[in-house]
Amino acid sequence: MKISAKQYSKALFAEIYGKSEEESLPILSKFVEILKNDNSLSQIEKIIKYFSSLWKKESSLVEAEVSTARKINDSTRESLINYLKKISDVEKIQIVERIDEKILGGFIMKYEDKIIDASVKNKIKTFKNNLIQ
Amino acid sequence: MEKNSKDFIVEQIRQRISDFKSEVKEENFGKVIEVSDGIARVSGLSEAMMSEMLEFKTDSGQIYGVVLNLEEDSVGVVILGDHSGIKEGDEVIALKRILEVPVGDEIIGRVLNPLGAPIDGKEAIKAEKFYPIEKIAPGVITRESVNEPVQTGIKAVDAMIPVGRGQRELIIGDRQIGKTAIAIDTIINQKGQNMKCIYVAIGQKESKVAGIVAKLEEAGAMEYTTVVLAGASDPSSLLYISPYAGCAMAEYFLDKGEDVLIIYDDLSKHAVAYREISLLLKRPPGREAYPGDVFYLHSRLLERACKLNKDFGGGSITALPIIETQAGDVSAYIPTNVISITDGQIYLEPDLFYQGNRPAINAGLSVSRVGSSAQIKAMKKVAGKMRLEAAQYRELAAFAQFGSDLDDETRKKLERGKRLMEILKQGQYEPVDVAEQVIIFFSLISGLMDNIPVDKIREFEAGMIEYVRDNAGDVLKNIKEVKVLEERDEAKINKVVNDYKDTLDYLIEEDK
Repeated sequence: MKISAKQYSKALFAEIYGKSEEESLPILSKFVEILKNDNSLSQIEKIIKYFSSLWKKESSLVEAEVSTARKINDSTRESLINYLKKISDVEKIQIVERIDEKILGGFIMKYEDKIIDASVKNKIKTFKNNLIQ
Repeated sequence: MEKNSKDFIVEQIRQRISDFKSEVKEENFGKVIEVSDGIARVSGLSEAMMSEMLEFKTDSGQIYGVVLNLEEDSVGVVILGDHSGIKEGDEVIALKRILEVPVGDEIIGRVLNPLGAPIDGKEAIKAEKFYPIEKIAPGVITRESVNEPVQTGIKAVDAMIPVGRGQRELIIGDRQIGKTAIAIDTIINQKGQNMKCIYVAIGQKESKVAGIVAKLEEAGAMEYTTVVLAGASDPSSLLYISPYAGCAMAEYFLDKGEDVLIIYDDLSKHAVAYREISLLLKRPPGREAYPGDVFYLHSRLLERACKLNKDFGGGSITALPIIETQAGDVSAYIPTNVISITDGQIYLEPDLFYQGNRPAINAGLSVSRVGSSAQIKAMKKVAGKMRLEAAQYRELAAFAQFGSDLDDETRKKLERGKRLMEILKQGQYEPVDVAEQVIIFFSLISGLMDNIPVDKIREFEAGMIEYVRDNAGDVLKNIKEVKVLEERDEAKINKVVNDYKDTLDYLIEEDK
C-alpha cells in the first residue's frame, strides 16, 4: 500500500516533537532516506505542508495576517492579539502585518480559514448596498 | 406637493442612514486551488455545508458557487455563472445559507434563469420570500391519493391516459416528435382551470424557448405561467439546478394550497449536465458514465410532485417530465430510471408521427397508473368503452392484414377503429374542452359516426361541435358543472347530432 503524505508527516511529527535540534537532525536524514527508498520524494512538498500545520496545531500557535491601511502601533497590535486569543482559544499568536492602502481604514484579519473584515472599504460597500435596496 | 415628496425622500434616506448599523462578522474563507470547466476546488472553508452558497471574489466582481463535494481538506464547488474570471488563489467566502431562489406571485408571467434573475428584459423580481432549491418531499401523512383531473385538452391523453393533479406523467419519445407540443398544449388548456404553470427548459435552444414564450403569450397563457430557462449555452451547473429551482417556485404555490403544473423539458439533458459535473468532480462513473446517484437525482425531484390532503392545504404539484430517447431506445439508462419513478408515461412513436397520427401517442405502450380516478364521471363513462374499442382495433388491424374475407362484426369493429384513430388526431395549439371531448367520444361509441366516411371525420367533428355549441349549449354547461353525463343529455346529444347529420351530403348510404 502506498503511504500518503499525511501519514508520513504524522509519523515524522511523532518522532521529532519535543526533541532538541541535535536529536532531530539524524532523524530527519533517516526520514529522507526512507522517502528515497519508498520512491516518495515527490511528495515532499505536501509532507512539509502537513507537518507545519501539525506543528502549529500541537504547539497551539496561530498565524494571523493583518492588513491595514497604515502601519499599526504597538497598543493596537496588543489589543488585536488579545482579541484573537479570546476568540480563537490559543496561546501563541504570530502576526504578519501587511499594508494595503486600498482598504482605506480599519483592518482585515485572517487566521486559519476565518476572515474578519473590519475595513472601511467593506463598510462603505455594505452601506451602499443597504441604501440601494 | 413637489417639495413635500422631495422632503419625504430625504427623510427616508436619513432614516435609513441613522438605522444603518455596521457589524463586523467573522467569516469562513478559503482559497481557490484549481478551476476547471465550471468546477473549482477550494481549500479552507472548514465550516462549509453541503449545497451552501459561496462567493468568489474576483477582480471582475463576485461570482457565486455551490458546494457539491466535501472532502478532507478541500471542497468541490460548481460555479454558477461565468467561471472565466476566477483565478487560482482567489478568495472564497462561505455565505452560510443554502442555495435559494426568490418565490412569490411576482414570478408569474416572467422568464427567469435558475437563480431567479429575470432574463426577459423586464424589471427585477422583488420577492420577499426565498425557498431553498433542495427540499425533502412531503411525507405520507401529508398526502392523499390523486383524485382530481388535469385537463390536458388533448383528446388521446384525456381519454386513454388521464393525468391527475399531483401525478407524475412522463412524456417520452424521439427528437422532433411533439413532446414539447403536448406540454405546451397542456399549459394553454389550463386557462381558467385554477392552475399555475411552470415550464422549466433545461438545455433547450433559446430560439425554441423564445418561440414557446411568444406562443404562450399569444394564447394568453403567460398570465399564469412562469418559464425557468437554463439554455444550451449556460454552464452545466445552471442546467443541474434548474429543475430544483423550478420546483421550489412551484412549492410556494403548493404551500398556499394551489394547484401547480410543472414541466421539466427535458430530464435527459439534465442527467447529461449532472454527469458532466460529476465526472469533473472525479466521482466514479457507472453505467453509460452516469454517476451512481443519477437515480436519486431524478427520484428526489419527482417525489416532490404531490397531492396534499385538506389538513395540509390541499394543494398539488403535477409534474410532466420529458425524456428524449435515441432512436426509440426506451431501455437506455435514464429512460428506464424515469419510467420507473413516474406514475405512467405517454409514449410517442415516430412511425405514428409519419403516418400522420398527431399527436403520435402509442396508446398501447402509454399508461397512467393513476387511471380513471383522474377523470370526471362523464369522461369515465365514455372513455372506458373507447379504450376497449381501441385495444380491439389494434389487435384486429394486425390480424386483418392477412385475409380479406372478414365477418360482419369484425368489419364493423375495424371501421369503428379507423374512425376512432381519426378523432384522436388533433392539431397543435388546439386543445379541446373536456365537455366537448365527452360529446365527441359519446357520438363515436354510440355509433353516430359509423356512416361518416373516414376521411371526412375531422371535418364532421369540427362541424358537429360547432353545431352542438349553438343548439345544445345547456348540455355542455351541464357536463361541466355536474361532471356527469345524464341520460336526458345523452338523448339530447343523439338528437342534435342526428339533426346535424341531416344537413350533410357526404354520409355513407346504409345497405348499399
